[in-house]
Amino acid sequence: MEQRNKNIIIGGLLAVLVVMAVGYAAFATQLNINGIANIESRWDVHIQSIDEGSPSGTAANVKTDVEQDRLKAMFECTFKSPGDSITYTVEVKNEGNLNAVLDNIVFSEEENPAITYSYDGINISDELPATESRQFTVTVTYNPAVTSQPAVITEALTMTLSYSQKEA
Amino acid sequence: MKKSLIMSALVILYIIINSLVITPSQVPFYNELINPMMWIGLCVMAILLSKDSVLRVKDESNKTQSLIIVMIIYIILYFLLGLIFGFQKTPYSKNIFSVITNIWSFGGIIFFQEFIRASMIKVEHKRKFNFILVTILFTLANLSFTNFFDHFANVKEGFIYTVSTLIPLIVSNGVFTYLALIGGPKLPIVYRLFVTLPEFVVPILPNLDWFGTAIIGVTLPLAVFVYLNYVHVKKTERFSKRESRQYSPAVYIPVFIVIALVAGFVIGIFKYQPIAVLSGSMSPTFDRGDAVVVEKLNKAEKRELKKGDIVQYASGSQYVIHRIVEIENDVYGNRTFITKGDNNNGNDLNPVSSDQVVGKVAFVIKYIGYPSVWLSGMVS
Repeated sequence: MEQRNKNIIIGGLLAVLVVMAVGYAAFATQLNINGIANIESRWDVHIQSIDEGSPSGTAANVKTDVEQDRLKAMFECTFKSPGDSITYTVEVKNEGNLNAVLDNIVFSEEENPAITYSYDGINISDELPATESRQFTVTVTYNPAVTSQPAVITEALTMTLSYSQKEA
Repeated sequence: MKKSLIMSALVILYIIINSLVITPSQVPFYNELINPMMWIGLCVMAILLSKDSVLRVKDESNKTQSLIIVMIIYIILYFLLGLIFGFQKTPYSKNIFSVITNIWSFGGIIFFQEFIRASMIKVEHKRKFNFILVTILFTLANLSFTNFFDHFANVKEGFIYTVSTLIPLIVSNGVFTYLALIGGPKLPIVYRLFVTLPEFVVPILPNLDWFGTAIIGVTLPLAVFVYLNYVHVKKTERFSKRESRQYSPAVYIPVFIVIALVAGFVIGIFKYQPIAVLSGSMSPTFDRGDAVVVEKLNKAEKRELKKGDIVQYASGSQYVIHRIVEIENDVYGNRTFITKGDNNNGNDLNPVSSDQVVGKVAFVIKYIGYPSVWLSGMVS
């Protein structure tokens, strides 16, 4: 009898799980889904370091920061003259034991058409094997063609990397 | 006992090979082939050595049913946490062949490991010593030694790794060993499959930080232990109703509720969150080592902020708690705040926007932040 009751409880709980799965399918676009989970001991891909390269002109680095999820970085710099630029070297490391592939690299910036960015040394679908690291550069430039802007511009650029397991 | 020692020696050999001889991530097909083959070999040895032992236990199906109930409740509560903390995508490939490969690589070895554990734990002599030995061996066997020492590159990383990975691994393995003792290999297999398989099958996981992961990593095995111990004792010991009540999981429910509430309070899922004060910039209002309780504000409440309020705001990845000394409007009519620490000579360098403001200090608790101050001091 006790086992029968437990089977009924198990059935009821499984029904709750099914409802949750259906709810996910129905409302997936409304869920707050951000970034990639780090699962200790198996999956650990993160930004290891950001080094400021030599700025050109009067560009100056204010600060760089790696956010808590360790796949989002922020670059803050100041520019005084069109043509100023600053290049950062980013190192991303795979400390898990599964090979990873870059799914996406997304930049967000404040809407100032005077500031442009570019990156070099990394491409979508690049592989990052376990225990290895990769370096690439991010360059932020004060558009040389711009003529009307404040005397000093401060720009904060955010970069988000998305990695996933390389398909078997 | 002799057979158990032979198995222990073989598991130690596996740990040595895995940690010192080879670098698993650099061996082709290590996860898919080499590692499972090693565990299959150990399992065959365990079968041969325990041929004359009985691995079935009394009341197995009742305990299994009880465990399944607990684990389904855990899955439900775990994924409901995503509605509070948000979700993250799992990093594993969703290609069907990759899913099957992952399940085999990381789920398949669970069967072999738990069969070996169950055969090793069934000894008549030196049970306590054997229990501890089996727990330690399987903790080490399930530890990833890839870049192990990189996790201790600094005090902060080491603390986080110890709290969110090492301690839960030790506690879990202690509970697995206990489950193997009272219920054979089936109980720890059920537990581990419920915890491991969702990562490979479900596309999203709750977005828990290391603290949340640590709390769950310790609380879940303890909850399973409390309940399964009660089920085991109820069936095997001839206790009176009064005596068996002390093993009842109901006794521990208030403990788990308090743990959940305190963890939720510290993580900040409630309206009020405690923050340790690490600098003296707001002295004498509050000092380094005090804690302030911050009331989180929504957009409408931020519009009510006035000069003199002490606010917590985000500055990059750090948070600052200073007093509002001026309120201005930018060219778009948005409020910005000029802030200053009571003990600072000048105002903070940059104006603070409403979006940067997290909340307002509600009240101060003296001295309670000192453990965080000491830990932060060790980290820096």
